[in-house]
Amino acid sequence: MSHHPPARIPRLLLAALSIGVVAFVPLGGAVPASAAVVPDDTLVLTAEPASVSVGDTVTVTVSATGLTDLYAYDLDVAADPELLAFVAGSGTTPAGGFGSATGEAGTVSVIATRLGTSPGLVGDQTLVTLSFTALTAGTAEISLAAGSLVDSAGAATPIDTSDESLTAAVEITGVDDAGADAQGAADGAGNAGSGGTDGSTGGAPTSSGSLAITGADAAPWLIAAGIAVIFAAAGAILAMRRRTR
Amino acid sequence: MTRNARTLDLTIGGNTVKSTTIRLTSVAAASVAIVAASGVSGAAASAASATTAPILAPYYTQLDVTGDDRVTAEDLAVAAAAIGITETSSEWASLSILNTDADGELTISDLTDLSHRIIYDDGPFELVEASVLDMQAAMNAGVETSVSITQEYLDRIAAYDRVTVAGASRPLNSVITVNDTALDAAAAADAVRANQGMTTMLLGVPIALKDNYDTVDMVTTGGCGCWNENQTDTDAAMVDGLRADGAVIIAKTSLDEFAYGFVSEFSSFQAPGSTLLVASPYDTSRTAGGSSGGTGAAISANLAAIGFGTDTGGSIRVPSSYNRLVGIRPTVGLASRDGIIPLALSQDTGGPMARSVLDAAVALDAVVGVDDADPVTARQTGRVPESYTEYLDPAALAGARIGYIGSMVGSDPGTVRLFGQATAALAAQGATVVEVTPPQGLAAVLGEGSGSTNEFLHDLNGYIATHLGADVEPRTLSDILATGNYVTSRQSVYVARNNVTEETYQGWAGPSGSHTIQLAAGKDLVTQLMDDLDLDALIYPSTNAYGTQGTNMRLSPNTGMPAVTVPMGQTAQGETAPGSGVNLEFLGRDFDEGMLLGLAYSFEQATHARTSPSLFGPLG
Repeated sequence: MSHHPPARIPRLLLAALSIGVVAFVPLGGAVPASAAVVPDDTLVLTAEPASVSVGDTVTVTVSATGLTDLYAYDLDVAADPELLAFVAGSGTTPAGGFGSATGEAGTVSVIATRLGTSPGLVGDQTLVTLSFTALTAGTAEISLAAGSLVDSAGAATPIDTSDESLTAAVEITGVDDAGADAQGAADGAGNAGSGGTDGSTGGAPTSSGSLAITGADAAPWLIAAGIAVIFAAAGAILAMRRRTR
Repeated sequence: MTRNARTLDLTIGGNTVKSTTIRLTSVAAASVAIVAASGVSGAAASAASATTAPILAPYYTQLDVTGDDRVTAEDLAVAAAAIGITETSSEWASLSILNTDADGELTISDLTDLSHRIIYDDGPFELVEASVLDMQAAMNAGVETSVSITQEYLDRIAAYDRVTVAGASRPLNSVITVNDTALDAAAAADAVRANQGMTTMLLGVPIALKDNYDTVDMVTTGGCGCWNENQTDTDAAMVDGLRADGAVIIAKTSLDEFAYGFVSEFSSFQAPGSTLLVASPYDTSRTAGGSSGGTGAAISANLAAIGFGTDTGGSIRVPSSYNRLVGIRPTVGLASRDGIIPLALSQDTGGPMARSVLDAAVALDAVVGVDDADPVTARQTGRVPESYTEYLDPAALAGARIGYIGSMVGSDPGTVRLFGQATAALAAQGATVVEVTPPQGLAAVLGEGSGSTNEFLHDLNGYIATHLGADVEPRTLSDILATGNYVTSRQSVYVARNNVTEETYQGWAGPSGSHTIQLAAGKDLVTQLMDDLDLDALIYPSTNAYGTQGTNMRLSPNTGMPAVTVPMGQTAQGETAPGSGVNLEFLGRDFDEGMLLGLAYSFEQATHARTSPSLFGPLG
């Protein structure tokens, strides 16, 4: 017995027709990432705000423009672990799919995929948003260290991470009285403003994007399954992964 | 990217974010806990404990690593945690099944393949020609609900069935009764999905039944105005199976009165002496066939997801052929006939009629089983697979041996051409197609008449005694004749059948009756033929264009062996009734429906011969 999905040609045809063509949106400094997945796509990594104080939250975003069919991806976001601490449970990937973000040793590994026969992502999308807590003064560099994009047919394309659009820097200043509190938060003492850095209380997964569930009466589990973004708030999964390259 | 998924504490920036140490083999439990804490427990994430069989094996089941026979978000969580492990990792043995690209490392590509195997689709949904898989995927994603899908079908019935649509010459007349509790059933199915996930492939799927299946929520007229009040206290056994799987019974469909013939003329809810005919949705000037013509027209015109008919001598297969549907006439004994108005129990069967082999297989799964009320079903014990969907392999024809008897192809030019194309397609898929010399005795098999003449009165009386609603006044065939409220052109037929004596019945269908003996001989003869020639199936055209082909319809009922009919194309200009659908029929050994469905699926995927009737497209 071979292993093939039951055919659904009329349905797929409709889905394909509905996707249409997405115009290329130029973005200064962005890097073409994948000819196979998104002919005119660009990826960019941003970190905001550009200047923070110790204890503040830095929001890192990886975005893409001009997507035509992005079904799944993995992204490794690297940050200086002496300067920035990933806020467990802070990751957000597009709604309507599965996602996970796990951090370890200066790298947050993001994995996201659409579900089943759902169409791939199109247009402009925020692929992931991550929060970090500033730990000590200095210039923190955040970059996309590795990654790949996969289309609905399963074709994977590595991301060329050499472009400067995939690197950002944050200036961290000052160590004052507030800094001690922030350090404590990073140690797991709790920080309501950042959503909590204690992995055990990392908060519910969040998601965003333009492909939210459209069923008006979707039951809670339907919505939850649709967004099925399992960030390792409890730290269980992220404890099992270690980069070896 | 290469990673080891070993036990590690995680620290970032010198601060321990989480010191819990969990081995990869514990990931499933850990991730489930996380999902539950986040309130995620449904479709993609649900374990769906109510399921009794793997759903759509093997494709949708084989990569399950969390023990619930399906791929869910929990499996994705396990895979996501294991991205990067390689053949040298200690966890490889338990997770290597996820390495579908066989590159020796779990990567995002493997996760993508895994995710494809979740029944889920949040893209646009189109009801017309949607399969049960499409519906389940849309409902799991929240794009549709059973209520919304049921309402869409109700809207289509209202818009299309009893009106003459633009381009048509007459109404379809395919539905006798619409279930006014269908939306309640749909809401109940949605509640099950909300609490337990997709428990079965029929959960919330609207199904139309030929109006000779008893239903507790709709009358069962048998197509006769004489029985407009036949509200039974119980469902037919097959309907029990459908409801148990969460299907929504949306309507009762028209039929040739008492499942008699191939034109689908009925008198239900008509003035005495008046009748209606069921029209083909492709050409309303033509018949939808019969006797399950209402099911055929309704399913082809997308008035319900799946239909059920009954077949004594062709009543599923003829309308399936005319309406470009897949029809299953099961082995006698696979599905209980209890609660179905009988025509001739020596040959009667109930089975699905659907727009695809997949839908038909899913529907068949729900209605098989041993039923003491229909003792012949005891034959199936140990001979029914966990799910017929496991046979749906596009490559099933590779290596198959398929025979045909030249005389059964006939001489109609369109049928001959289509059958030739079909055999070429079978061969192209790797099947060996051989012409078979008819064995001595086959003429007797195909020459044996229908049991309906000698069995109808006897078997109908059995139904009347055990099932007929208490409010029905005509309780004998004589009573029915006295009402004048039936297809009166059949009067002489009913009178003749009313005069069949018990002695005649026993001499025909009793334990040593002539028909009983001939049917057993037919089964032995054809089974031996297949054994001798090492055949997996026999094939023949089910019909010609809007007409029967010889006595082909008799081979299955006169052997009791199962048959699956599937569209093989349409007639062309210069041929009989250009543009008409003609089906190819696969006949197999007793209880070999799985084999037949596999062959039919492979043929269907290679040919895609069904077309949708253009007169009944999406509602504006």
